[in-house]
Amino acid sequence: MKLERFEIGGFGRLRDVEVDFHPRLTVILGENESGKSTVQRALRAALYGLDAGGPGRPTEKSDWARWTPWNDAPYSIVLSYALDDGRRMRVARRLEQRDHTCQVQEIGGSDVTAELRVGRVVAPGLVHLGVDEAVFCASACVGEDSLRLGAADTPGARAAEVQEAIERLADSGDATTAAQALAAINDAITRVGSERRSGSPLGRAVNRLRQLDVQVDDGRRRLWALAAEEERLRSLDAQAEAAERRRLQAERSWLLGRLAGIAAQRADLEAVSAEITQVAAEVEGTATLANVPLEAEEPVILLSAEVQEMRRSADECQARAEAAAATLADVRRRRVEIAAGVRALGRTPTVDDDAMAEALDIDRALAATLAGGRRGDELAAAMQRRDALRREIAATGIAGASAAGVEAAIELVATARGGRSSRLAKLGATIALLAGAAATAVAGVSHHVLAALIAAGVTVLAALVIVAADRVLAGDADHARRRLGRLCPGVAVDDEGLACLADRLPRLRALFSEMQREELRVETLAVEAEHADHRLGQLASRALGLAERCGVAATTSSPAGASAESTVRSILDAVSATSGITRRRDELLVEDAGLIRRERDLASVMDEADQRARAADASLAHLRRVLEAAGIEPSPAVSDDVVAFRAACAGRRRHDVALRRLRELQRRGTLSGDVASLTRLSAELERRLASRGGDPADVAVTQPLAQPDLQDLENEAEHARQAAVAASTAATALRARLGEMRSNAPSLADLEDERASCIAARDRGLDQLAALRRAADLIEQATKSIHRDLAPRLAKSVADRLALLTEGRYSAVNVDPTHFDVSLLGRDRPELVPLELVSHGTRDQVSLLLRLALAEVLSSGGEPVPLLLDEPLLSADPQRRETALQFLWNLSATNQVVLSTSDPTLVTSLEQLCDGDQPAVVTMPAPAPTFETAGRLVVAARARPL
Amino acid sequence: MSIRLLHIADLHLDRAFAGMGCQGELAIRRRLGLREALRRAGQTALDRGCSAVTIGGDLYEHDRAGAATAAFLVETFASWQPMQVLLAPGNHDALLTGSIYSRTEWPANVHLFSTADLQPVAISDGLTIWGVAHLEPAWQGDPLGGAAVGADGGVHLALFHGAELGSRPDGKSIHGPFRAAAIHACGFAAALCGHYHRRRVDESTGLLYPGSPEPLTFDECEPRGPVVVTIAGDGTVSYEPLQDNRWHARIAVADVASARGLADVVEAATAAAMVACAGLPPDRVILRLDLCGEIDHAVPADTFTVETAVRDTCGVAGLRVRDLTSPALSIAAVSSEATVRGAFARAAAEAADGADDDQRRILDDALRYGLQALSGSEVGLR
Repeated sequence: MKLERFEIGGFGRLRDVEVDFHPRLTVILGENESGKSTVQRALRAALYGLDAGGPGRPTEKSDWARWTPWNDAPYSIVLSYALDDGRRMRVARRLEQRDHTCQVQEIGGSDVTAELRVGRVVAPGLVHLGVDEAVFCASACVGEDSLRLGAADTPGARAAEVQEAIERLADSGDATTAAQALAAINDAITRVGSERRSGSPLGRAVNRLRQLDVQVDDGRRRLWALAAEEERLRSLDAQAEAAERRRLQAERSWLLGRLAGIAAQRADLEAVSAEITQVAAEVEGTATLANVPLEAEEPVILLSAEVQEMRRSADECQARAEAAAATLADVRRRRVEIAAGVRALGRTPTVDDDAMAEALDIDRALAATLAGGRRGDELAAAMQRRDALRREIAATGIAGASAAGVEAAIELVATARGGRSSRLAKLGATIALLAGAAATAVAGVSHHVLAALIAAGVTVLAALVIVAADRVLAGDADHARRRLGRLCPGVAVDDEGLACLADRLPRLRALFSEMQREELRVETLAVEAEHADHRLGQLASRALGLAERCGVAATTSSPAGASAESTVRSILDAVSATSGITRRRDELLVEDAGLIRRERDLASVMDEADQRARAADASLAHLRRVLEAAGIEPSPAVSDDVVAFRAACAGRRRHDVALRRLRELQRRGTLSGDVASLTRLSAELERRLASRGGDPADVAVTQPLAQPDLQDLENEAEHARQAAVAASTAATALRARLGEMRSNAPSLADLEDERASCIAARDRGLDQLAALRRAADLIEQATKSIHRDLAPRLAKSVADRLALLTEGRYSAVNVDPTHFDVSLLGRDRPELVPLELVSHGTRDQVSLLLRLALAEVLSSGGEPVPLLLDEPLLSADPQRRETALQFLWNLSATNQVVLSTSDPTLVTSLEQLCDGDQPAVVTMPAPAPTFETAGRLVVAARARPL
Repeated sequence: MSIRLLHIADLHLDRAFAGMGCQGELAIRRRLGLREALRRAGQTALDRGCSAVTIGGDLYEHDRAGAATAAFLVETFASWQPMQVLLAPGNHDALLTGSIYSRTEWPANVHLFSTADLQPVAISDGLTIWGVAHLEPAWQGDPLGGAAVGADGGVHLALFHGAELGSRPDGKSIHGPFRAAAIHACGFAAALCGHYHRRRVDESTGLLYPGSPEPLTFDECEPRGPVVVTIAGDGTVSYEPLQDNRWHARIAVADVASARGLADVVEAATAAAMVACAGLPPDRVILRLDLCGEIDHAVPADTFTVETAVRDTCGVAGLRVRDLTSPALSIAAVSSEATVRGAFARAAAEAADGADDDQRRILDDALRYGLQALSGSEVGLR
């Protein structure tokens, strides 16, 4: 960047100042308070703007307020400069308002204001130089005697300050070094403390928190224990109360039951008294029956029943005896009739059952034999049929043939009639010959000689075979005809005769067969007729034997054949008749025996009737004796007697019961005590019941309790009382303990409040520590990175310029990346020389070069930074000043230099050094007298170029 | 003849006040103040001739309440006899096994609602109060539950701890949700509720939240106290909110943008605190002071120092200072520097990318501390 022209409308004491810069070096010459430094400040304002205050920066204390023109000049500045690429820029700032305006115009080009805006500020210096205002100030703006960057006395201190200044620039833009920043952070970390340092805020919070955790846990446990004990106390109270309720309930139940028992006892006493009176009257009323023999009641009842039964039985027997008397007369009359009948039948032969069975068997055999005798008719009919068949055979005309000859004749007729086949053979042979001739002729015509010969041969062979067969058949027929003539004499064997035979022979064969069957039947029937006659004779013999055995006689008046049959029949009839008489007599005898038994039974019935009547009379007499003994007058009816006796017995029993009841009542009355004592006891028990919350009126609806039940209630009440006492005792002890626990119970809310505060303090401290440590880590990392990057670049930049400016006296420069310690390598010494060991002039030059190098490095390749030097050699001796001026003139070849001074000789020196290329010199007018107007110092100033 | 009731809710006895910066003696005083508020409410009810005191839940905090609290409640309620006390447990004092409610023998004038559905208690002829209990801390049932009352022609009021969904403050938990429109729809003349700590009296719907009698958080700045509910003979219900709180919560905001040093910060903070606490008894004021504005990163806004200074100056009972300032510099411009500071800012920004909220918060503080250190200033801890 090359500054070309600077116009100041108004800025601090300056008004209407115009400066035209030399491309290399411009000297602003003026007396003190003439505005030389203001020009440099205005230049910086043109490049970076002017701070007008803001958050944390009051406007009235801002640079904008400070550099407000002292007079009424317009608060404005205009700067023109050229860039390395040839572009030229014009920066115009109007600063009257706090929110001042800025316009940047590329000369010959367009408005580039927007391109140069960084945030709300238009900063051409930041954009074109690449460094912010702080770095620009620290590197390019060199104040009075500040080529040495400090005024320390010792060389070492000066060098250290150079290094620190460079470190500050590199770390924070001249505010502080990273090491100092880390120290500040560590200081803050120390202030926060740590969890292990009990004296630090964080340590105190952590320690207290640990204590509170324990206390809160303990408090919670104690509260839980307290709650549990309270719950247990309530449980004990409830148990005691429940036991007390059970005791009261049991006692009330006991009292009610007891009162109900007493009430029942009193009522019983009254009832017993009344009943005694009633029962005594009843005893007295039945006293007459006291001697009735109760033990006789059952015998009397049984005896009366027996008497009544015997009487009824005797009456029934009497009725049966009366009925048996008539029957007995009938029986006896019948027996007389039977005796007469038996006598009338007289004595007859005896035909027993075997004889009767024999007779029946003979009768069945006779019937069977007679059935066989009827086959004679069939025999006659069969013989007539046989004769008729013989006549029919004779009528056939071939009767001379036997039955076997007929069968052979039938076959021979068939053979004899075979001559018709010979004619057919002849006809076949002729046809074969004709066919062969025709085939031969055709073969010959068609010139097939071989075929014609074969056809002729086959034809002749066929004709020969046919003729031979015909000859054989003709011989058989002749033989058959000769045999027929022998078998059927008298019958012609020509063709007609053969036809006749063929017609009749089957009929003749059937007739012969039928006649053979009829002859066999005739023979069978004849044999059966002989067997029937033989058996009839045998039956007659058996019948005669039977008659003899049974003593009956048989009549034999029939012929011989029929006599046997009639004999048998007469004997069988006689046996049958004799058997009927015997059966009738037996029947009468049997009936008579039955009547004898009946007669005997009827007699016994009559005897029994007499016996029962006597027994009934005896029992009745005994019953009456018993009744009379019991003092009961017998009545005509036995049943009335029994009723009377039973009534007497019942009366006796009532008397006995009443008597026993009376004695029991008297005993109960004695045992139940007296009503008065019961009343007193009842009153006492009612009082006790009322004291236990019971209602005596409930006695009316309560059932008396038995003694075991009362004992159970007493036991239950005692158990409940003991349980209530035990629970109450435990509750009392626990209540006392609870009181102590409550008084010692911690306030959980208090503890938790403090705990929450400690947690907040701890968390806050831990967050602070984490943030501080993180900041320290990040700063350390950034420091290492930046230093490692910057150090070699700084060294190279300084080395390049230093070699050029010192004509090779120093060829290399080393910059340590930790704290930017600088050492030089010169021609005179082989090793690197620390900066504090080189000469003052060299050290000043290195300091300035380091600033420029840092500006270049930090600018990241921006334009060369112009140097604004304000009285840099004010206190330098002449030799050193000459050297410095030479250095500056040389340096202005790369970096434009604006040097302000109040020493005119410096201008002269420069003019001698420059030798032809004269630097520009701007002379500031002498400061005008100041005067105060409206509370502000105002001075009129006018600059003009030399 | 009209009947009066006094309704309170959300007393939160035994509450921890560490969240309000109270600890030690101050926290104890705050808790005693809650008990005193209950006593004053009962005395007010007696003075006004109320028939009953209705308590709409969160009477105490179950996690911290102990035997002393139970004894205090028994003693206090007993001293109000024969005036009735109706208790409807809420989510912080749910009717759990082992809770104070269930293990305490209450005086005869106390009626504890113990079911999750509405149960009636007849206060006088024609006035019935139906109550619901939270049986668990996270109960989500509808306290009105589609009830249908009022067929007998009397006046019916509902008493429960629930969250009216139409007016739920941001972030407020939902326990026993219901709609205000359901109050009249179910036949109730009014619903005496608890849960929201800000008072709300809506005569059109019959919804009443009395709010917590004493401020429990910094944002509970408005006047607070019980509400007297009057049921006229014709059945109309009217409400008289009372201002009875003894403690005051305030939030002050101090803009320290123009501060050039810690002294300026303290000065601005003290001025803001004085304005916020003007006219209030300082020994009963709990103040939260928020420092805000863009502040030069070289200025250490040390909250501990500010807190100490403000407390000494204003004498407030409780004070919590929050540093909500942001550094007055362009992080982007710093990040563009080729210096260590620029590299540090870039590294912090890179680390913040993808970090979770906690890490980002740490990195934000680290950036602030680092920039302060690199500016040559003392590191001011937040």
